[in-house]
Order: sequence, then C-alpha cells, then structure tokens
Amino acid sequence: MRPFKKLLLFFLLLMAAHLLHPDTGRGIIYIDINSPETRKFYLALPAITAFGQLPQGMKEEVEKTIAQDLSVADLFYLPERAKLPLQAAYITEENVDFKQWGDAGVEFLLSIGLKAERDTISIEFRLFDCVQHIYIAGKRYKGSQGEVRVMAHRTIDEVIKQLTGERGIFQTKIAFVTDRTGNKEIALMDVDGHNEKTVTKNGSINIYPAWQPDGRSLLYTCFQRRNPDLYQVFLATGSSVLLSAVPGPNATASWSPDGKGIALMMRGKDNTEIYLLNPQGKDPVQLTRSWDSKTSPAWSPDGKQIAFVSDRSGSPQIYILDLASQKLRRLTYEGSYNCSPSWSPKGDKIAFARQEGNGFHIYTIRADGTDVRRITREGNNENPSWAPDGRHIAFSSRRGGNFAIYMTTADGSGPWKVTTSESNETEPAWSPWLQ
Amino acid sequence: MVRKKGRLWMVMLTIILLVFISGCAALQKKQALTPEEERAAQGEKEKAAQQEQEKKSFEQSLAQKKYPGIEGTVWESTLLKDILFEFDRYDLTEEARKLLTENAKVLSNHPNLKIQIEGHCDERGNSAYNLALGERRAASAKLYLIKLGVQENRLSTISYGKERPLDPGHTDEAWAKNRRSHFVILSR
Repeated sequence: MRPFKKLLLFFLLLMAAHLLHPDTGRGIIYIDINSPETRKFYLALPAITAFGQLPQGMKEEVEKTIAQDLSVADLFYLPERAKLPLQAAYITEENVDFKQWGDAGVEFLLSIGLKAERDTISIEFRLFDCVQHIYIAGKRYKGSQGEVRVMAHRTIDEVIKQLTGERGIFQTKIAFVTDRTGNKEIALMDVDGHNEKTVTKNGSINIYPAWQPDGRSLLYTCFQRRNPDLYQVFLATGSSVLLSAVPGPNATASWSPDGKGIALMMRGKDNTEIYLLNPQGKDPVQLTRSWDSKTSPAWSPDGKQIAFVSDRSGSPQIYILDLASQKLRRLTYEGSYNCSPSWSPKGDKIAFARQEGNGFHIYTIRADGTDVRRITREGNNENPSWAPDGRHIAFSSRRGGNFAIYMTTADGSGPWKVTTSESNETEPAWSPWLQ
Repeated sequence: MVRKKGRLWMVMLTIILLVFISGCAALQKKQALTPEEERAAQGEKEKAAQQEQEKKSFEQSLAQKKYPGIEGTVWESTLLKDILFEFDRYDLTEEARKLLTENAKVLSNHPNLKIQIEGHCDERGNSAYNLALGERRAASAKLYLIKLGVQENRLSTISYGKERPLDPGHTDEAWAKNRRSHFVILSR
C-alpha cells in the first residue's frame, strides 16, 4: 500500500509540475509532413504504466489503439520493446534518462500513463526528444470508461501535432454505405472502425454520402420517393430533410469548401450535367452544358475549381472546370475509364479510380496532370476520399468476398483494413476536422 | 251492271293485293344487306371481341409490384418488353427498336397508360457513372417511343444505375440481363 501511495503522490506532483510548465517544446516542427523527403522517425513506446484498479482489458485496449494509430500515422518506426532500455517506472521529465534512450537509437520517446479513479479514467503522456534531450510536451485527458478509445486517439493526435505542427486524423470519422440490412444505408464510424452508428434507417437505397464542411451534417441520395433525391441528415439529431427532388438524379453531391454551395449531378437534356445548388438545395445553376454524361463533382479546397467525370471523349475521364473563367481542361488521358475524383484538402493532388482489367485501382495525379501514381497494389479498389490531413485516403476494396473500407497513405503505405463485417461497405467519405 | 261492278272490285282487289305484295317485296329488299356490308359488320363484331380479348389479356399480363424501400406501387406488364444494351452503351440495337415498336403498340392500344422507363446498368463500373448511364438508357427508350408517336406526357424516366439488378449474379449472362431499360406502369 505504501509504495503505491508514494507513487500516486509522485504522479500528482508531476501533474502539477506539468500544468505549470506545459508544452515545453512547442514551436519546433520536428517532422515536416509536407516535404516529399520525409523519412520515418524512431519512436519508442514503452509499456503503458497503469495506476489504480483498471477495468479488465482496458490497458490492452489502450495499448492496441495507440499502437494502431501510430502505425496508421505512418511517421514512425516503432522499435521492438525487447530492444528498448528496461523501464523501471513511469517516465517523466524528472526521471528520463535521455542518454540511455538515445544510445538505443530512439529519436522520440512516448511515455503513457493510464489511471482509474472510481468511474473516471485518465490518460496522460510525456513526449521527449532523445536526440536534443528535450521534454517536448505532456498532457492529460479525463473521461468515462466508455471514452477511453477517444482519449487514446486524442493522445496520438496531440503527439502528432507536437511533432509535425499539424493535427492527427484519429478524432475524425468516416461515413460510408453498408448493405448489412439487405438494402443500402448510410453509416458512420471512427477511423479505427469502432463506434459505428447507422445514420439512415429508412430501408431504401441510400448512397453517395458527402460531408458538410463543418461536419454537422451529411448529404446523401435516397430513392424513397421513386426518384434519386438529395437529402441532408443532421448528425446530432439524426433527422433528415429533403433538399432537392427535381426529376432525375439529384446525386453525387459535394459541398463547396465555404459551405455556400452544393455541386451535384442533375438531369440535363437527355444526359446528366453538373449543377450548383444553394445550401437549402434550391436555385439550381447549370455549370456545364454539352451532350455528354457528367457525374461526381469534387471541389478544389480553394473553391475555385471543380473536378468531375465526363464521357465526352468516348469513355469516362476526369476534367476540371475553372468556375471564374468557365474554362474546362481534361486531367486524365491514360486509361480507358477514370472516375471518382477526390481533391486533396491540401490542393496539390487529386485521387481517382482507374479501371484496370476486371477491377479498379486508386491513383493520385497532380492537379496540373503530372505525376500519376498508382497507390493500391491488389484487389478491386474504388471511391477514394481524402482525410483532412491530406496524407491519408480511405477507399472501398474487394479482396475476396465482400467490399470493405480500407485506408492508405497518399504514397501507398498500408493499406489498413477498417471495416471487418461480412457485408459490403462502400463509398467512404472522410469527415473534415470535427473538433 | 252488277257483274261489271263485281269485276271492277276484283280488279281493284287484285291491284291492291299486287301493290301490297310488291310493297312488301320492296320493303324486304330494303332491309337485306349487301355482302360488303355484311363483311364489315362481321369485322366490327370481331374487332370488338378482339379488343375485349386484348383488354382481357392485357389485364392478365399485369402484375402489381412494390419495390422495397420505395413508396407506392407500379404495374408491370409482360407485354411491355425490356430492351437490352451493350456494355457502357446507350444506343438502341435493332432488336431494341423492334421491341420498342411493340411496346409503342401496347401504349397506343391503351391510351390511359402512363409509364416510367427505368434505366439500369450491370454491376461493373463506377456507381456514379452508372447512374448517369442509366439516365441515358432511359432517355434513349423515351426518345424512340416519342418518335413512334407516343405522347411525351405519358412517359417519365428514372435511372437506378446499378442499384437494382434484375439478376444478382456476377456472370456475363447476368450482366447482359441487367443492362436494360425496363417499363413500369404508373397509372392506367
């Protein structure tokens, strides 16, 4: 009992110290994720230190969540624990032995503590630069038992922010289409596949989820009224409103980055055209006018251009419309079937799907048409959607029986399988930043 | 004198009789039909019976249909034939034109019908592009029916893209069946 009390006191004092001197290393960008030469860094993650009586399995769940997030972040090599220095106690700025960790080849050290106090759980971390011997940052998060995964994700997001200056993606969400009820419904999950929620429950065909820029609602298309109509569902209440029900498709909607317009495919003259609606789904403005079929508008992050699919060349290809000049240019030339454009939130790249053989692969291309790269290696891969960090891409893939949601980085690392059900999960739409 | 009078009566009676008989004959002649008229009457009778028969067989061809998750019901008629398309195409084949001509006849025989033409695609290819392609396939059928004289306000269209395949299989045969325009009756 006494050693435990001592430890607890020590812990509390450290907390106080931390609160007095937070974020010691702030301002230094250790990892420039926008540089093409970014290499991975050696980050040591010693075993989590548990304080108090933790619920069964909680420590393992947090360990697993944090290790998975660090892997998906794709910024670090995680050396095997067996090769790390032995860890006697919870590592803090008071007791850290920089030289010992540095000598083991560690560049960053992430020390994590997990504590249970009645029904309250807290996670705290300390992050160290073992090369320059700097205590970079430490924070503590409190919550209920049910929030422990969220706290783990917040921890890693904060670690990534401290090292790169940019937010991590682990508190964002992915909307997708699932056929587990025998029809197609829109659902929502965390990026680790947990915390899944059904968004629509109308038993109809619900497809093409698209996020409002502030993350409060999703647009989707539903056939309930015997027409592909556009709806908006508010995530806080779960209630849907009908936005646009013009005869013909009101589909593949995409919210402008400033939230002031909705681009979508609607009926033209015996074909489909790209239209622009106001946020209430009214006052359609026709943006394209020609004989060919058009679909899948995707905004550039500055809101000045829209990429979309047209078959005017005889096969589906991606084109870019400049809204101010009304000028149209063709983006993809290779391949006989290019579709599903998704513009990186950083503006530099467009992800898309190209048909190859009997399936599709995910590609990226620069907005100027150069640097075409295939980023999937196997399976039938469709519907890429960028994460708000501009580094990760979600897509649907069939590798065997059913379609599942996967994630990859834009340079093809991973992929990581997100959904694990037996049903078909397709059309992922990665949320914007949510907090 | 009496004999003379009696003879006169006889003559008059005979004349009256003759007039009566000839009048009857004339009357009879007026009521009788020429062979042409007879044939026409027969034709009309047959036509009415045929129409009755067609109405009956059309009624028998109908089946009410409820789509899961979609409001309302429609009727499908086995007399309104699906037309099929080549992969990634929406132009009408010769066979499709032939079937559309037959479908147009059904519509002209039943002027109260309002129909919806559904454009469908096979499961290959991108969902969004297939929704656009289904729109094209429905429009192709609609334009041809209008060309054949069907009033435009009797025809509406919808694309289901690849969302409602007829055959859920993953074979060439299933795909061929699914690349279609399908005709349903909204009101009659």
